[in-house]
Amino acid sequence: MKYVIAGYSVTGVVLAGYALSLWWRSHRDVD
Amino acid sequence: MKTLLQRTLGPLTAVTLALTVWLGIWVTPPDKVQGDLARMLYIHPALAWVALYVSFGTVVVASALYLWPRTRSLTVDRVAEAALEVSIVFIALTLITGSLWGRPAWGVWWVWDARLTSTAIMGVLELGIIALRRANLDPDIRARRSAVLALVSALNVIIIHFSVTWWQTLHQSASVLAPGGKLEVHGSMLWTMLLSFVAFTLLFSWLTRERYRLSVRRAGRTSDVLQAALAQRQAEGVPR
Amino acid sequence: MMRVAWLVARKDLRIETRSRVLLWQVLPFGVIALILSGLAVGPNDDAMRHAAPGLFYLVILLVVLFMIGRAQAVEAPAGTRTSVTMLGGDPAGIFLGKTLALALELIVTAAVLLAGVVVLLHAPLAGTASAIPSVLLTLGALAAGGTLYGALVAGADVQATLLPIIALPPFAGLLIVGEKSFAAAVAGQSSVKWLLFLSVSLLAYLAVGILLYGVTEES
Repeated sequence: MKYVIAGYSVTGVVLAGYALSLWWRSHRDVD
Repeated sequence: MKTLLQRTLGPLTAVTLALTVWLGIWVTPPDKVQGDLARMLYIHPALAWVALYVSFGTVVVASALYLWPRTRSLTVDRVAEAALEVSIVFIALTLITGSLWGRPAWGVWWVWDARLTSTAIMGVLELGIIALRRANLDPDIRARRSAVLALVSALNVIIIHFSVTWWQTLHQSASVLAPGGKLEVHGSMLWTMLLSFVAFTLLFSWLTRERYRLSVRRAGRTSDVLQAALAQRQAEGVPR
Repeated sequence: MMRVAWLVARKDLRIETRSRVLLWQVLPFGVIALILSGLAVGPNDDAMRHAAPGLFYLVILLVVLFMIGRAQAVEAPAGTRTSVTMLGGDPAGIFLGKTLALALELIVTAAVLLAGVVVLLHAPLAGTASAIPSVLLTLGALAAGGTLYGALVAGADVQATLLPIIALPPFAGLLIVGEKSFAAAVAGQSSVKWLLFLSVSLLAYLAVGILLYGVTEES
């Protein structure tokens, strides 16, 4: 079961992290 | 004019994803053979489907459209760029979840299974296209070349798939089944899995749209900076 | 198209024979790489013989990267690239010509490397000889793909590091099939399936190159 939790968690973290990075990159002045 | 889908894409994505997770972890029963491990069924196949077909497919179609003079446009190039970046994220997740699913079953984190290997190589192919996109070239030339590389990569994916499949079967390593190979999927498991496909496809659409908007905003900002610099230079200018 | 191809191939080959980069740099590199392979895998005889086809192709891939870089570099001085296209040089012809030149250079290198594989890694001579058709087809596909990838990175300031990243993943597929057909030939097995696959891959690369080579440059 821990592998399942790990899988769901990693997926959630990475996807949320990517979405956040998009938001952050759009508010930076320099790329 | 935003269509209904455009306006509701975000919330719809969130709802379907939440539903998938809830059903996947709490509502659906454990499998007879794999037990709780089978719950990977609700994320891994959908991630793979999006990574290999939906997102890369979008990149290929957008690239082809860019190369065709009638449909060539900045928009199409930006869509390709956005879908490509999202594609990498999904491929990475496909490999990670595949590895996590397989580790209890195989005892190791990685096997040279045909599917895993092909997916890994496809990920590296996409990294190559991204690398090309970062090269310092004239924007139109860069867009064209990235499009060409994307199309050639599509051809390569087909070649890689067949070659790795034959390589693996001849290699006769311990008969490795894809983790989901022996699962009987029906009832609530089936519906949840189908829902996950919808949820992740919506997520892909939303992420690509956001990434596309980022490109547009960046381009706008660059020209804003340029305009400001020009205006300042003009203000400083000595009248002739 | 064929006439342009022939002219371009002759030009590239002439530049090569004059500069002798192939002779004095690429071939020695190939031999050194082969020796390193032997050191990495040996001295167990069985291990070396078993790994020989794969190592041969691994070295070939590294050599191809050098040669592609070179093939594009000869276009750079004095704007040779633009002048050829401006003079109405048919891009498809240019692609075919460069592919042909690259393929010939690869064949020369492969001949030396095959001898090296037989001598250094103890690959059986008869088996290796029977692998030659598959080797030729694989080299052709590498040359076609390589020429196309070379054009994609030409003119970029990070050309040297960009090329391997772009070219090696696709070449992985050719590595696999090349190695398998070589090993099959050595083992005396039928390699019809592999030869067919290689032929199809070669034709696919040629077709794509003919269609898209010109797109990478025109503005």
